[in-house]
Amino acid sequence: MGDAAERASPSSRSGSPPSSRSGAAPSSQTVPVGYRGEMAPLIHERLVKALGSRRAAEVMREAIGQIGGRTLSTPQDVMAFADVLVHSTGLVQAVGRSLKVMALLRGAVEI
Amino acid sequence: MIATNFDYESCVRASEKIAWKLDDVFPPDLKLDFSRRFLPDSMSPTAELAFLDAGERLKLNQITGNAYLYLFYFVEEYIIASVLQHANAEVFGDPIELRSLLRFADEEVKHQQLFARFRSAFDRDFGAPCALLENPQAVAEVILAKTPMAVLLTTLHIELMTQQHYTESFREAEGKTIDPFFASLLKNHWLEESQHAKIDALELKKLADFATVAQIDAAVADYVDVLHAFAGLLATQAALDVGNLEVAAGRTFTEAERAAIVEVQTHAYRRAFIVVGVQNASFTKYLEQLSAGAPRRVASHLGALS
Repeated sequence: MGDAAERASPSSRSGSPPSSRSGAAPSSQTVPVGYRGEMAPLIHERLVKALGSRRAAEVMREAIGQIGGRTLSTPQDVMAFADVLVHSTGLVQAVGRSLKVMALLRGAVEI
Repeated sequence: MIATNFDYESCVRASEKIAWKLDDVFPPDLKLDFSRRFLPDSMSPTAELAFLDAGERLKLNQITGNAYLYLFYFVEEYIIASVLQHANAEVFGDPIELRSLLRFADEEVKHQQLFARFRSAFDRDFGAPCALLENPQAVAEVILAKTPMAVLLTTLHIELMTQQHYTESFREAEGKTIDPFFASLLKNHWLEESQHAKIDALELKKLADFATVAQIDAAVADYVDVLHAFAGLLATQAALDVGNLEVAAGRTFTEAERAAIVEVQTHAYRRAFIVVGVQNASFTKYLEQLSAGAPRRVASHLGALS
């Protein structure tokens, strides 16, 4: 199944969905095994929404690799992850910019 | 932990239900009624200035009303920038949260246009030029340089304060002692600000959930810094009001009279914009949920801020 089809079919995977604060339809995507940290599900959910699950898994794996396998627990961890995405292009860069703003609002600092 | 009994979805629904159009609330060619007072006595206590005659008290009330609306225009400059940052953080996130934040931003821009339209009508027909604080962009830059949680606390303060102004002052005086059109502007403003205050609280909860004790302490300190800066701006507007009244009244006041006007105006502005916000029951509740000692810490500055 292509990424576009995956985005159009939110029930294509089973597993516990990330929580939704507003009651909107939750994503059914689960965080791939191996990614650690409280913020990992949120990041993964956003990447899937933008890129589809296959590409999201690739981007997440590559970005976490570039930050040394870091756990995504704090806003500063999200900032480091987002900085990698920001240096990409297109939708990946757009997700990175959004995550970077989110991290800054939650107290992360530019290093 | 910030606790709320509402969510983003209920804010969007309420926003859609009460939404109004700028031209309906303030037709472009509308003329203001300068035979009526704009502000209730509680917000423009001109009776304390016994040396002013009735016509001068009316003019000072209207000068203060013009500045009052302009001050909202002034602070909305930073609020728009701030809420768009929060919306940006929700791109690819929850669509309901994103919608609530984008509606919030759109409504604040509309409020700025509403207050700019009032200012144009006032400038056109009041009969005397009135000086107002300059450069809202510079103030926005100062506020946005504070920690994001402090910026949200400041916005929450302003939104809750706005509601309290309407429910405790304007609604009671509407059509009795003040111009009903001026009160209607505040009513429409209040209707949308009610959702904004809830969204502020929900966004504050998001930030607080990840904050350390040190970050919360820094946010409260930053918020107090903003209050002190705002107190200075309000005193500056009060001083401008004296010159505005002299031009409008066509006479020069003595130094003692000028000082008395500045004192009454400064106290009235600070009570409206600072004390009412700091002492607002909902604001105090959220502040206490953020940090148990924060309300007392903030209140300890009220002497210097009023």
